[in-house]
Amino acid sequence: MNSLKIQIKGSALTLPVICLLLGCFYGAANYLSGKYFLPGCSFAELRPQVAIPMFIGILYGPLAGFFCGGLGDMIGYAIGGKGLFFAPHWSLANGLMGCIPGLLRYWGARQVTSVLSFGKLLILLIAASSIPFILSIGVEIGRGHISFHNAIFQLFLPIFITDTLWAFILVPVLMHLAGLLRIRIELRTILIVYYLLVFTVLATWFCNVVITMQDELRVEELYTLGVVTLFVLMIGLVVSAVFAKRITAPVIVLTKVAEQVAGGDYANVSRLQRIVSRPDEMGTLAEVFQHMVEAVKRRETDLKRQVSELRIEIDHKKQKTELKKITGTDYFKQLKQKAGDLRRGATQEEQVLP
Amino acid sequence: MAHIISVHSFRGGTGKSNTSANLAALYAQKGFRVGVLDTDIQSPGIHVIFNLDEETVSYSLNDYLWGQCTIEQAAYDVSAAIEGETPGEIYLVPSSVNASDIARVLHDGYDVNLLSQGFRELIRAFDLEILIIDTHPGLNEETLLSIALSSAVLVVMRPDYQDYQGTGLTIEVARELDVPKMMILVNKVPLTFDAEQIRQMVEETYGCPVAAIIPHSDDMMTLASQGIFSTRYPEHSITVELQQVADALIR
Repeated sequence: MNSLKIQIKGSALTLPVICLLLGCFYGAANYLSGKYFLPGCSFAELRPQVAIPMFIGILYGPLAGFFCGGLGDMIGYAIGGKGLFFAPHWSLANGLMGCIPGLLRYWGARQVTSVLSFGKLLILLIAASSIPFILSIGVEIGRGHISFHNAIFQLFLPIFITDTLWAFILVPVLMHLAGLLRIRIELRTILIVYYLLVFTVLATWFCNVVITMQDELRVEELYTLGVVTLFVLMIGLVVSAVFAKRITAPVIVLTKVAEQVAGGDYANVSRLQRIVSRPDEMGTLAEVFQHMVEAVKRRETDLKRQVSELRIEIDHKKQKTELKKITGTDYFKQLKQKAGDLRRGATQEEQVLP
Repeated sequence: MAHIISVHSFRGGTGKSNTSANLAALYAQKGFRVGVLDTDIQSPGIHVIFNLDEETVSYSLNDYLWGQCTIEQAAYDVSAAIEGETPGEIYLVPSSVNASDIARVLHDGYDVNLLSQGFRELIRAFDLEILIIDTHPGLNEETLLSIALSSAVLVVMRPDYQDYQGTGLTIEVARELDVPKMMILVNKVPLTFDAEQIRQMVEETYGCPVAAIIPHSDDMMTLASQGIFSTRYPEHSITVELQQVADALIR
């Protein structure tokens, strides 16, 4: 995705071209998915591609998102042979759907690094999946094409729920790939719960959709559904576990290396390098730890050198001369004699006393 | 028979006076009657540690050595300087801080034999069990006398090139004088040094047991001789070490 940014700098035309291309892709996907309506709906479909205009909006701004979503929708109709302006209010709604997530940058959260900015992203994704379609569905109601009740239950809610789920699953992944979502530990902790819940909702909802589609549910289908639900849940669990593991793995390495360093073994300090390159708090910690180890190592080397330099050197020849100078005097000889007498006297005194 | 312990160092600045004062305090806390004699006539200082006001000192060791007073008159009870419960007592014989007195000692000298008589009189007068002599650095006559009369000599040194040669000489001299017990205290050791390594090296070099390796202590430096460390900080690791030294010297 970095290469994309460089291309944009290269030419003023690059951005519209990318938006147009992705818009075409979005339209084509709309055309293909348009054949598979949601149960009980004559218009709403499963559209994982909604993540494309939303992502373009986040990446290049609201205008680019609007262009991609709106134009893409029109192209979809055109491919289906209905002409570009088959449903301009729906095209407008799709444009707004790409536009709204683009507002993230004006909310101080284009770079998602914290739980707070992730929350802002989710709010905009919900808004992008609801507000535009309230408008377009309003137009449908106004024209008398659909009753209010049916508009809610056959149009708005199916669109809102599916689009939100797709956006929730795909947009964070795309942002992460583009380097716009930095998974630091704070965010990682939330993502564990987030993905587990999203996949649980997905599994439950999938079941309900299939059950609704069947007029009569047979036992075989019921248990097959159960297995599928379990499978989807497992995916959620695995994704969460991977996230959790990524938190603890460096701690384990760090602990091991710290223990080794404490024991004077610096051989595995290079293993920290992989952790240092992480963008999160663990990376920072590992980097600080690495600096500390270097400082400790340097100090230890200095100390070893200092202590090994500690030698007690005595000039024995000089000492002998000096000693002779002192012990050779008459005073010293007398003193020695006297001290000896005193000590002997003391011992005798001690022996005499009871 | 009282224990006479000379605390000596070949060079100044090793912490000799401080060590003497701390040992005296530790003995007094154990209930001993202790005398401290400051024979460092040329640069006296131990009275500061015992908080003895120079104004109240009417007679000093100098006066005794010049025959102007008895040793008993020159001794002062400084037990009050010790913090905490002290069943024993400490009597300090200070040297004069008067500049003219110091000059007179340097110029005229004194009868060194009077000093040995002073030891005995002091012990008898106060019924002392332990007499600690804070000696003058180097190996002059009164120091030799103190060493000769001692039952134990504690040589204080620092891990410093300037101390090595002199410490060796002191130990050899003490050996010549047949001192019954001799120990080395390595003082003010930088924290970066390995205590065990130093102990081994010193014992090997001098053939004399090391009583303790006392690390350089900021706590002690902060106290700056304005009190007795071991009674101010009774739980400090240095106090524990000094306690062992005190025990070893009279064992």
